[in-house]
Amino acid sequence: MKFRPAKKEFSLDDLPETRGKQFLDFFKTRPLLFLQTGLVILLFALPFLLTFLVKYYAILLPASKTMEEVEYLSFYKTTTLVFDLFYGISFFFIFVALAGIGRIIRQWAWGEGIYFWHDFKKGIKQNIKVFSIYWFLFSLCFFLNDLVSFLINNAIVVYIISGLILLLLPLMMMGLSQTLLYTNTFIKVIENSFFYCLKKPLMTLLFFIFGCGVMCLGLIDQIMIQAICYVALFLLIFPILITGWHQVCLSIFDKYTNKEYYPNLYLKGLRGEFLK
Amino acid sequence: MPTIELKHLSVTYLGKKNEQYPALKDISCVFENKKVSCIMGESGGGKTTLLRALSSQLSYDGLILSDGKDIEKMSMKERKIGYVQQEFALYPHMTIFDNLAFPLKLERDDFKTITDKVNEMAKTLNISYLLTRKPRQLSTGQIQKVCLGRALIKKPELILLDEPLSNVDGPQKEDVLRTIKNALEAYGVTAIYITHNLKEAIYISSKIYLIENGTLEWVKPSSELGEVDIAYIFDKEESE
Repeated sequence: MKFRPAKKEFSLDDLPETRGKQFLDFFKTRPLLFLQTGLVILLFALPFLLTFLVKYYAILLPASKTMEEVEYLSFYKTTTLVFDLFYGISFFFIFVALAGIGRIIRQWAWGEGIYFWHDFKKGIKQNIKVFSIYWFLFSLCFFLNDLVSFLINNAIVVYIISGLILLLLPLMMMGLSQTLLYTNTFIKVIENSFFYCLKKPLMTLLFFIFGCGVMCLGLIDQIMIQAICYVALFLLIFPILITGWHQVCLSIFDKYTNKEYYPNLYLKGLRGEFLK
Repeated sequence: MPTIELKHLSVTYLGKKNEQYPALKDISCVFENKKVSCIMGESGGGKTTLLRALSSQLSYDGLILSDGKDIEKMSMKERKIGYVQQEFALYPHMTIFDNLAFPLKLERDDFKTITDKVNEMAKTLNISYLLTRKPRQLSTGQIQKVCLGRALIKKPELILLDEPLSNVDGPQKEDVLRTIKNALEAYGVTAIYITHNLKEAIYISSKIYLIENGTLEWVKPSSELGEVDIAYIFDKEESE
């Protein structure tokens, strides 16, 4: 196969120095890996999409045509809470995918070889127990968010409570990233997550805003457009987002933990690894 | 590692009108075990044809023996041959890691073994920092080091190198040549190396074989050619 070699030697200085630069480097060296992981996430998100489409097209849409407004509102709330259980089950598949993809992202960041399906399966084996706990918490938060919005009539109070629930999202993601690297008790991981999230308040806020953005997808009137947005989210945005977030976590771990306690992980995959 | 022996080896190409072009004529010689043997000669003299015959890419008359066994009767797997070409035979869509791992994946080695072997090879060739890169990001010299690594990673018994430096940019040749020499010594393979450059031949090999017009003209220890002018040897009277 033909290709044009570079005009000058690739030197150590050309390797990315920081996790941020490494993240941008991923787009140069292996852009298709984003798409590959996106396809896998989308595959595992099919139960969620199916649940979403069934809820609206099979249940709510027909009901909206036959019921009075007040009756429909009550029916909508009940249906939403019931379907939250099905959503919860569908989220499990997404978390299984994240458990597998997590290992691939870790290998990627560490500059190690990636055997996609082998690492995906191994990632699920290694991470599924802890990821299941986060799945449960996430599903619970999802359910509580809807429950709160239905039980409390004050919109501001609802937004505040929803916001607080959403703040758990970066904490959970930080916990998931820790799980990929370290073996710790769940309480210790949560404790560390608070510490790490406070160290990077801007990134934490960004993730919080992202979470709000995803919730806002639910406000789109056209169901099909909403569905297309979810497909784009799983296929294109999630892989970039979780990889980017993992890079943020690694930069925090390098600074506050790895340098002192795990020198073999410190700057692993970056230029610094080869300068040690 | 085997001793390779050629017995009355001949290769004839057929032209468009079925004319016969003898590329190799009755060559008999021995390539020593665990040593680097260098084949020199003018372009079109039969050097690459010899390598292609050794790797069974074309049919031939005569015998090629590996430790006394006819290689035609051996399977490809049994022959354990590595090949480094002039052209850069890397997969451009794969990372350097994946390019090095590819031959091992074909053998269905387990992934931990593959990773260890790739890392070990990268360390030997001093290219560990290149494992996450794609071939287009590397210079010609670096690419050829990777090609060498891929040829050596399955621990072949015989490695064939067909003018490996011909497409390497000038300033990098020395480094690549040194890497090739060190790697061949480290792995203790029997190697057959083609070059036009005498200085390169003297540096890399223990014996030099001159092939011209399909005929083996002479075989000499590199040390005998000692300090020779860097210009390529074609004058038979000077060389004898």
